[in-house]
Amino acid sequence: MAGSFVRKMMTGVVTFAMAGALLAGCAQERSGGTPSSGSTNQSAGANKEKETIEFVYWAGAGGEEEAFRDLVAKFEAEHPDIKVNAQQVPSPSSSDYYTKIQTRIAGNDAPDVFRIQYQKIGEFASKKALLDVTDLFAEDKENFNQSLLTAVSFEDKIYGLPHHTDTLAVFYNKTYMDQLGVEPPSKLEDAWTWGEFLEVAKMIQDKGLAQYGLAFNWKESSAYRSLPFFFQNGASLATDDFTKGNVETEEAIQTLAFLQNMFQTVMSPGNSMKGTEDFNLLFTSGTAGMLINGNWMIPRWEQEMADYEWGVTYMPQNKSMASDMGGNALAIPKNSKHAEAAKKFLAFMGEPENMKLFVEKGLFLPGRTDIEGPFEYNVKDPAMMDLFIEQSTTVPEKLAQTVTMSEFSKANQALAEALEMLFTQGVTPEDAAKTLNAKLDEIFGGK
Amino acid sequence: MKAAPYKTGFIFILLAAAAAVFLIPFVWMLSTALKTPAEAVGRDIHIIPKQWMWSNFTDALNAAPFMGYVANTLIVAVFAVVLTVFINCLAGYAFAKYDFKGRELCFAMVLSTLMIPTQIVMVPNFYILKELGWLNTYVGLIVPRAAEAFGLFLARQYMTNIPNELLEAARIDGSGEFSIFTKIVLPNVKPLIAVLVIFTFMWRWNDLIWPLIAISEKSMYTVQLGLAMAKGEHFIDWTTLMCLTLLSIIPILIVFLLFQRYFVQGMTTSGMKE
Amino acid sequence: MSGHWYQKRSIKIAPYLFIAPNMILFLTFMIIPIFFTFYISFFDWEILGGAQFKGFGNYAEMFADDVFWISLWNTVYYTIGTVPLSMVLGLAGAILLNRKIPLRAFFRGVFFAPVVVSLVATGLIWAWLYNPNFGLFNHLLSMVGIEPIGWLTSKTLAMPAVIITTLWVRIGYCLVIYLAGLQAIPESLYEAAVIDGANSWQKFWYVTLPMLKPTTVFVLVISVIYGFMVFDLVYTMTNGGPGHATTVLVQYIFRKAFVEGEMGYASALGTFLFIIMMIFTLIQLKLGRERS
Repeated sequence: MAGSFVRKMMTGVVTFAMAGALLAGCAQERSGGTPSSGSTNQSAGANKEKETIEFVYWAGAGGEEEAFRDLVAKFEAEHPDIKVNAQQVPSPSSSDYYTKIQTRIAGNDAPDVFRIQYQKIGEFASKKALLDVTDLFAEDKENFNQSLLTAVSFEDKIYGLPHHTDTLAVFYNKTYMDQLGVEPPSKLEDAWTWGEFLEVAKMIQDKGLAQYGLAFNWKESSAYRSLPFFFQNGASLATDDFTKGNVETEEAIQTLAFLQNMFQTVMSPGNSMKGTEDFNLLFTSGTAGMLINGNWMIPRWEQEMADYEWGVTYMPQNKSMASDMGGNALAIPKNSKHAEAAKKFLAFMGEPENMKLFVEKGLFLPGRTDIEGPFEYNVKDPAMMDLFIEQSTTVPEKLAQTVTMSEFSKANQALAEALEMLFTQGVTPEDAAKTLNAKLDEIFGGK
Repeated sequence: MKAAPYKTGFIFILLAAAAAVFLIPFVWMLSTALKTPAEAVGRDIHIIPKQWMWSNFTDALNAAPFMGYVANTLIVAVFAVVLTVFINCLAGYAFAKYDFKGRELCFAMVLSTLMIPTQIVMVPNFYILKELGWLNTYVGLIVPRAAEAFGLFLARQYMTNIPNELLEAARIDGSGEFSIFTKIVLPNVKPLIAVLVIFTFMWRWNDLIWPLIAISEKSMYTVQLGLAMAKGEHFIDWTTLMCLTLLSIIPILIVFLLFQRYFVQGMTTSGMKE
Repeated sequence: MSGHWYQKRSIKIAPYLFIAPNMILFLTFMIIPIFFTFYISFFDWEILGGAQFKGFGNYAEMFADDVFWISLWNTVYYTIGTVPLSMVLGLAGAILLNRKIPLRAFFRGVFFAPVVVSLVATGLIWAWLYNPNFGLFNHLLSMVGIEPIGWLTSKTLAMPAVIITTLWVRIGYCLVIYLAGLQAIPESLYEAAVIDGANSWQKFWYVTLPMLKPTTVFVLVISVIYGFMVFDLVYTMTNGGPGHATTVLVQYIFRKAFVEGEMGYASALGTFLFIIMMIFTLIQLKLGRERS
């Protein structure tokens, strides 16, 4: 009897195992295939000819989405032996983009190329998570924006491609402005002062045109977008030698006070660091009269601002002008299994012609400085891009240096916490500055 | 219980009011799903849309490869149901009807797994899946989650009611243990099986955390993962999102409405004794 | 039990083989990972970096961490807010439904439906309902002239808002379990009570409640576990904000682990949560058993 029992159990186990193998077989064919999205990528598993690299990225607007797709197709056409498995995922500001990437890298399941903010790449590079791609720049180094190159470098080696940069400006609802009889500045030197800026925002609310005067595209991972205001007031996050925090200065505290006032009087309570309010929706639905956001958003407004006219003007100024150094790089994880193919992709994206294609569609400023104009931006009103280009010249060098430090990720977090407390917990600017400074000392001092 | 008619009437009204409140979220979701995007975020909010945009659903399906996600989830759910029901019945039977050394300890271990917040074991699980080569595969979605403590409890609870005489008689007749299970126990627990089938299907359909760990390939997304990811994309607005949410709920609601009785039975057999 | 059959070896082996698939899976995907977490909690480990031994450092840091205590308090607040109400309202609903009224199955279905809806969907729908500018609730309020309320952005209202959403999900669950519990109470007990001259209230207090005790214990244990482990709704609706108003333990663990990359510290938090859950559950089960 025991014999037949054991035999029956064995049958059961074998069946179980076979079912598992069958499923695994199904899975093998399934994974790597992308149905219904229009592309016809095939699995690389069984295919000896083509190598497949995985490219993870996000798209903040339709322009860059199309740009990435076009360039991937172009790359595949030029490299018939490489297939690109392009995975578009939600952006860092609306998801845990980096969580997934970090876990995958740590677990040895890394993608081959991924998009990464300049404010983040320092963290990855300093933790030795990225592939050294210095050799790709052997001949080309001077042809890239040096600030951006610094951002992607660590200890004299280059760890990513400075793909593009962008900056912030003030989008406004022209229909409202017309009703107010306000004409936003059209020259850089006429940019609104802090006082004027706040006044316009208040007017929009007081006259009942919109619920809020302003929306801002900051969120936890983008807390650094508040930095321009510090620099506009002559303050900064770190001391000149970048070893300590510098926010207990009068200028910094004034900035914190201004930001707090701005948030509490003209912004939606859901537009804080942890808030889940969709700032873009506030603008497109006319619920907020102005929106601080970047050049790549233009394609979205062209599509979505159906009910209102809109325009863009310069960032406000106080003691000086400043805007944000934004943009993203492309990087390769150190433990990518297709390093050579990934490098080819990176090199491809870094070629002048391809970069030009990308920035024209995505509405960005290129990482290279040697691309010949004119740029045929895919935009209805070229003057808008010109404004952003002009605004980008006001990015202070110190800001660029601050956000590209390898420890900046942590500083960004500390800043986010301080601002959240300032906005939603009613902490005083002095106290917020104190707490923030203590944390920054720790971070910059080398924890 | 006999009750005066006015009392019944009063209770009915009370329940109807409560039911109306409970239905509000569903109604609002449907209402938003059918509006034009502009109307959903316009100044004037109405519950009944001005135009019933049934086309929103097709648009939503174009925006995200949702049907693909549904297919994935169905495959996972079906296989998971077969596997889970089988091994839970098996183990439930063992816990209920056998007196073996370590029984209490094993059961305590099962109970303890309920108290493990999945978030803290996400990373170790990722490593384990990676080592097994189960990332981005159906196996990785089906097998690890086949062990559901609740399912085990339900099975054990139910099985304790099987008369021991039935089993003893079979043993005296010379049947092997496994064939006792398949030939005698299983046929006698059909209601349990029905409940387990429904619950497993629901758990697998609604699961977000596990696919979040195991899947990074868009083609392998499940419905919940796809929904969570859709929220962050720039081209998804609230109307589309509500459409997708509605679509994600419909299958499970249908299953629920058809098998309500079994759902209820399932929740109760687990709650009867300790 | 007759004497001869349990000497067969197959019977001794059978239970072990039968529970094996389940045990192997639990071991691999739950037990081993939790031990890994225990282990990591003694290290300083950032997900991309190396690990450094820290002894009990993480635990010391934890007890000194304000946000930890806030998250613990929030979790307790959430549990107290959701458990009694869902149980009481569930019981009340079950009592009402335990009679012959028309559309009984329909009502049961309506109250239970939120339970089968995924938490992702629930979070999305309710976030939309609570939306300060476009949500239904503020719209209804505006119809009676009340200014828009920031349900999820207000320090004081955020947690109650999440609690209300939770009640929507949990009341039906409690209701259905209680309903079955009620239906299992023999009529004879009630008849005996009536003969003794008991009124409705006394019937409830002296017959219904005691007979429901096992059910109540079960619902309580499960609800408390659920309350302490809440994550999905908070994550979808408020991200733990505003500030730390809705940061519950698991949310905090998630942040520390994945947003701030401090796996070691997060593991310590997780270990702590696991341990108190075990203690709680054991206490509740013991209390449940004693008063029989």
